[in-house]
Amino acid sequence: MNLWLEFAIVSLAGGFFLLDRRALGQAGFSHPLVLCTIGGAVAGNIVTGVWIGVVLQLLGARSAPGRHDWPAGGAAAACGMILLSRSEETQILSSYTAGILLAAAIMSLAVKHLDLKFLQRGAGGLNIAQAASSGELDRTFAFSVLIHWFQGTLYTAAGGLLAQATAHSIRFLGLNSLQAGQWINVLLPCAAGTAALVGALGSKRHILWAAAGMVAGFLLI
Amino acid sequence: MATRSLMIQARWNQVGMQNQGFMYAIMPGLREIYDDDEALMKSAACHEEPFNTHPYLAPVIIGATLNMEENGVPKNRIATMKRSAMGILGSLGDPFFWAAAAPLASALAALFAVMFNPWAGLLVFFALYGYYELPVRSGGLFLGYRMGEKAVALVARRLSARRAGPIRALAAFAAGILLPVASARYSASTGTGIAVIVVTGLLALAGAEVVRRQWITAPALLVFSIAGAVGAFLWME
Repeated sequence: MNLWLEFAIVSLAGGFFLLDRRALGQAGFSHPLVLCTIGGAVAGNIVTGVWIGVVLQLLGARSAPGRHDWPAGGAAAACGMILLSRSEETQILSSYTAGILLAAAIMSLAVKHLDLKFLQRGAGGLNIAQAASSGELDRTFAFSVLIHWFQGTLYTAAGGLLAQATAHSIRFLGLNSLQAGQWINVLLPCAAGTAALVGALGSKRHILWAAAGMVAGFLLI
Repeated sequence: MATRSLMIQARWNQVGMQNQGFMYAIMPGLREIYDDDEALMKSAACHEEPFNTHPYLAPVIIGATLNMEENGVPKNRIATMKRSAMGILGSLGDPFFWAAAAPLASALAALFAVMFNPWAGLLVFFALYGYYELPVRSGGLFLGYRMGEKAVALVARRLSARRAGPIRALAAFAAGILLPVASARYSASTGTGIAVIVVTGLLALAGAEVVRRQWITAPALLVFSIAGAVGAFLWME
């Protein structure tokens, strides 16, 4: 299939999944673990997909779906993985992980501000009671879902392209096959994810629980 | 109405917040109650005021409002019920669903995905998240409609009884297990030493304290840590 056509389809699919983050359901389908696992499976390297999803999921686990931006980062990462695998006609490499994660984090920061502007416009001066009784509200909601889909599609597409750039940059720096590569691609992102989740729980007691978990993990391996 | 209540945040805005979503969800019910347009319009006008609560618990309030509308309860009493219910359920729902259930589902799903199978991780995530979220979302509307304003008190009591503390502790514990397990799983080929894993673990705990003190946001933490590590390695080379 043509790369650009596939890019368009993946972006539309990402936008559809992103409806779940605010407009429709909020049942968890837009969570990064879900999107990245599917993205990794489509890209032909589910292990890297899961790995990126796990880190993003931990980073955003404490945020409320209505306000947070990690699903957009997850969609961007999934799109980036698929694009990378298609453009190089090979499986994506685990050395891309840090680059894709960087793109996802940058997208998450950007989308937070873009969403705020979108919400500020959303008030609209609608006479709700009149609109509801005349049926205009039904049309407004249908249109609103389409707008959210379009918005999610743009986020996915932009994030996918950004992931291409950051992943290639990280790989270009020659950090793919070294011990350093493992640390930068695997251990450090996992540490950042763990820190974000445990720290956001808000109490020193939770840090002690995490330390106990680490000891248990050591015993387990 | 149950389907429409899933879209309660689709037109969230900074003025009325979820009021358009509330109106959109309750409108089919109001149409059943009020036959003539004037009465319908009058009733709808009472629901224009700002509304904001936890999206999973909004169906309870929608159902309770419909029950009161059907029983001819005065509009000012319905408005009072809505205002107090959205405050109570919002303040109980946010810490429970966003700050306890979601982190636990995420941490355990991540652990299962890394330790066993990627799809097992997704299964655990949806099973655990659904365990907390689905009963109240699927039954909330019917409970509210059947019991009226008493449903709000009932849901609030049940949520208060579910203590979020142990759930959060378990989430932190699971996230802690993940780091050494993932290191062993993903770094096996290059043989990352125990010392490196210990140092990374200590960095994670220090990072948790930094996040806890709100000195840095989660995305910035990731960007700075990766960029810093890349810079350090390039400098060493």
